[in-house]
Formats: sequence, structure tokens, C-alpha cells
Amino acid sequence: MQRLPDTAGLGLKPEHFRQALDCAEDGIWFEVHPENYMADGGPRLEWLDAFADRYPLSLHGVGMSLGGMDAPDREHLKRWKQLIMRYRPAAISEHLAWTSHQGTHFNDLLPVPATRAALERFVEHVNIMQDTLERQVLIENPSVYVALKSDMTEIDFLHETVARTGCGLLLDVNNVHVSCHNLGLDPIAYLDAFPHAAVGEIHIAGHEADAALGGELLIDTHGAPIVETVWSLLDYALALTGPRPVLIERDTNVPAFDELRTDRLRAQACIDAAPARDAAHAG
Amino acid sequence: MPPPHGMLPMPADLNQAFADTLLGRGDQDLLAHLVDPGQARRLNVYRNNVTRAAIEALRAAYPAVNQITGANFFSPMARQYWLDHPPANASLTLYGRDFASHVAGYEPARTLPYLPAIAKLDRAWLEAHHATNAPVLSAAAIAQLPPDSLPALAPGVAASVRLLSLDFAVHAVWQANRQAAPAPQPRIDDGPQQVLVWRHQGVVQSTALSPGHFAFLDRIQHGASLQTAVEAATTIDPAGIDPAQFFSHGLGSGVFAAGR
Repeated sequence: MQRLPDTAGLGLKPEHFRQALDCAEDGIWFEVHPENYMADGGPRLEWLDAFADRYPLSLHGVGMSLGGMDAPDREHLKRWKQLIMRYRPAAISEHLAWTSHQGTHFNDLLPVPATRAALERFVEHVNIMQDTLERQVLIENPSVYVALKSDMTEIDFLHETVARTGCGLLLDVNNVHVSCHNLGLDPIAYLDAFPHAAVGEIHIAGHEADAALGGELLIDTHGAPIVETVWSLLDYALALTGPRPVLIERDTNVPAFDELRTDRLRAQACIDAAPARDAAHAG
Repeated sequence: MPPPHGMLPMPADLNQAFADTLLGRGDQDLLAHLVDPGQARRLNVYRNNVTRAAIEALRAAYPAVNQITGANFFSPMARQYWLDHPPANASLTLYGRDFASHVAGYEPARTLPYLPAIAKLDRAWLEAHHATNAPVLSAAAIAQLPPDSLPALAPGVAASVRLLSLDFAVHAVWQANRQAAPAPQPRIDDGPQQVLVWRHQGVVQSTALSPGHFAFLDRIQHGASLQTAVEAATTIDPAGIDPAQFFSHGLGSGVFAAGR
């Protein structure tokens, strides 16, 4: 089974292509949004060929809208498939979110209510994605800003999705921190209840307080340094899951490559300190 | 995550209500889905994210337009485009196909009548950059052909080639405004200009064309033979074109398609 190594990786930004390609760091791997590579040709695709030759890759989708009303877009799945054939990624992932409705794409990860009806649809869509791509997909827990009416917990929603689709999970520790802060929940209780054995990858990132509402509302911007609370939650999560691939995400205010490398080395130290777990993980 | 709260609205209604909120058509229907209607002010996060994603995609796709107008002018112009043409694709790589005509009709941009021509050049750059990597015709391949077969050869142009007929002679201004640090602004000449944009060895190139050269490439792009293209070019521009030299130059810079 293809899977990422239990090491730390970096989100790949075009401004770092040259440095990242040449860095040759022990155990490094890279993650990209496949949507940014859905073009007919050109140099960007050739850069990714060079990365695929040297490092494990992860394709982390943001546009499949698995939590939406519409069935997964066949054209979009076709382009996903082309990228998988070309780059042979070690892992592929998507979100518990929706991004499009009736043909209009909002390009943001919008919230799915934890309801039985939404679960039925989500399970169907995850199955379609996995069957079409002939790969296991890792599903990421979302950053949530408003509480939607629901008839189950997000944790139960994820447990049932794993049980009924065989998907893995991408545990985003920053999202746990942001959502629990915004909804008044306990992040430790959330991590304790998370389906640990299904975790195939972990994300950490920075967040920022909302410009208008201040500390009441944290936003998952991937635009600031990772806070100490999130580093602590990473240690806590790794103690539950055992060593797992950990990704540093940074999408705005992108710092120099060396700053991301420093974060990556710290994440690697967290992985190295995690106790081994018996169960083989997803991914 | 929150515990059950009374009657659940239908999920179908949630997505439609959310879409209405995101497109600025009011939050009323969405409030019924919130555990705490007091959190309605948080919906701005989603509205801002969605608008920003579209505006920043357009800014990245139209850097010279953004440079000329300034970001504060560009953002509301882009926001209006997003409202009129919301993305129909999960990938924003080629979003903004109709932006040049939007700019042409955007009232506050009327004082910059050449701006749509700048937008057309930015768009041509983007399309050339992402065009498929199809093989191009080489001088070596031509050398393999019997010389008397050349006049009937109809190679077509390379997949990345974009031929533009602009209302203003803005090619030099456009090039200057693609730089991170803008060069001194060249002046904009009156009258139309014809420009070739294409990708060669991974890098997008561009050049202003004489009417004869434009006619030559335009005919080749439409499937004409070299002989027909030469006739069209020399009819328009009898003195100013050396077809053999132009063809040879185009072969060296990957302008023609291989494989016919």
C-alpha cells in the first residue's frame, strides 16, 4: 500500500521550487493542492515532475466538495486521476467540507452539519471518489466558525465515515484548536475521541484572530507562525496515534524557505518522540 | 459537534441558504440553521474568504492590470467580475477568461481606454504559460522534407501560440508592467497593434508583429499552407516581409506545430 513516511513534510509553494527541490533533507516530503496543477501543460507541471522523481508527494484536494449536495464532478475526478497517474502520490486527501453548489464554486471550505442526512451523502461521495481514483482518501477535519444545527457529533460523523468507506483521516491539529476555541469545546476531549487508528497524516499550521471580532473568533489562515498551544496539541495527538507523517502548512505571508525548514525539524523531533503504536495506520 | 437542537432544517436548504449569504443576497434563510443566531456576524469570515479567493486569483492572473490600476482599484473591479462570473471550476488556474471585456465595460476604468488591451495580453500570457506541451516543428524536421513539398506544408501553430489584434499599441507598456519593479513607463502609441504571445522552452515570450507577419501566422493558425500564408502576407505588406527568414526564425523559436 502506498503511504507517506512517518516523517515531517512541507506544503510546496512555487516561490520555493528551486530551494525545496535541492534541499535533499532527510525524510522530507511535499504536499500540493492538485487544483493548482490542473492545467494542460507548462513549467509548473514540469517542476512537480522533478519533485516526484526525488521525494514522496501528497495531493491535498480543496475542490471536490464531498460535503455538498452535488455528486462529485466527473471532470474534476478525471483531472485528479491524470495527476495521480503522472505523479504517483504517496497519499491523497480531501476535506469534510463543501466548496460548490449547483455548479458555482466558492473556493472555500464551507461547513457540513453533523446530521444523519449529511452523513449519508458524504459517505456516498467519499465512496465515489475512492472508487473512481482507486485509492484510499484521507479526510481532514474542518476549521469551523459557526455552530450548525446537528443530530450527532463531528467525531461520530468521522467514525461512521471511516467505518462505511474505509477512508483514512487527516488530523489537522490546528483545525482542532481553532474549531474548539470557536465553538467552546475541549480540544483534548476531541483528540481523545478522534478515530486514532484511521489517522494517515497530521497537519499543523498557524491561525489568526478575526480582524473584526478579535479573539472571539480564530481563523485558519495558514498565514502566521504556529502557536505553542498547537505544538503541544501535536505532541498530545502523536502520543495517541504513534508516529505519523506531519505536514507544516503555510499558504499566505509565506516566509523564507529556511524558516519553514526550522518548523519542519521541530515537527520531526515531535514525531521522533512519539511512542510506537502497534496498529498499522491508514494511508 | 454541538448537541442536538430541536428540529433540523433540510440540508438542501442549508447549501442554498449559505450560497445566498456568500453571494450577498442576505443571511435570513441561513439563520435557521445556526445553533446561535448571535453567531451570524461570524458569517463574514466565509464571505471574506470566498471573495478574497476570487480576487486574488484574478490579481495573480492579471498582474499588469493590477500594477497599472493599483490594488485598491483592482479589488472592487475584480469583485464585480466575480459576482457576474462566479467560478464554474474547482481549479482557479484559468479563472477569468472574460476579464478583458469586463474591464472594457467597467465604468470607473473608462479613463483608461487601453486597459482591456493590457488585460488581453495578461490573459494570453496565462494561457500560453499553461498550454499543453505539444511538440513543435524544428528546422531539422524541415530539412528532412523534399524542398518542393514545402509550399504545400500546413504546419499549424504551436499549442501555446496566441495571436492578438489590439486597439492600442500597449505591448511595451504591458511588458514594463509585468516586472516586479516597474520600468519607466513607455508611452502608449495610438492605433492598433498586433502581438504574438507564445511559450518557448518553458518561458512565455512575446513580440509585436508587422501586419504582414501577423497575416502569415494568422493564416497558418487557421490551417493554411505556407504558400497561401506567404501570399496573404505579401499582399498586405509587399515590401516589408521576408517570408523565408520569418519562417526560419519561427522554427528556431518554437512557433509552429509538429506532427501533421
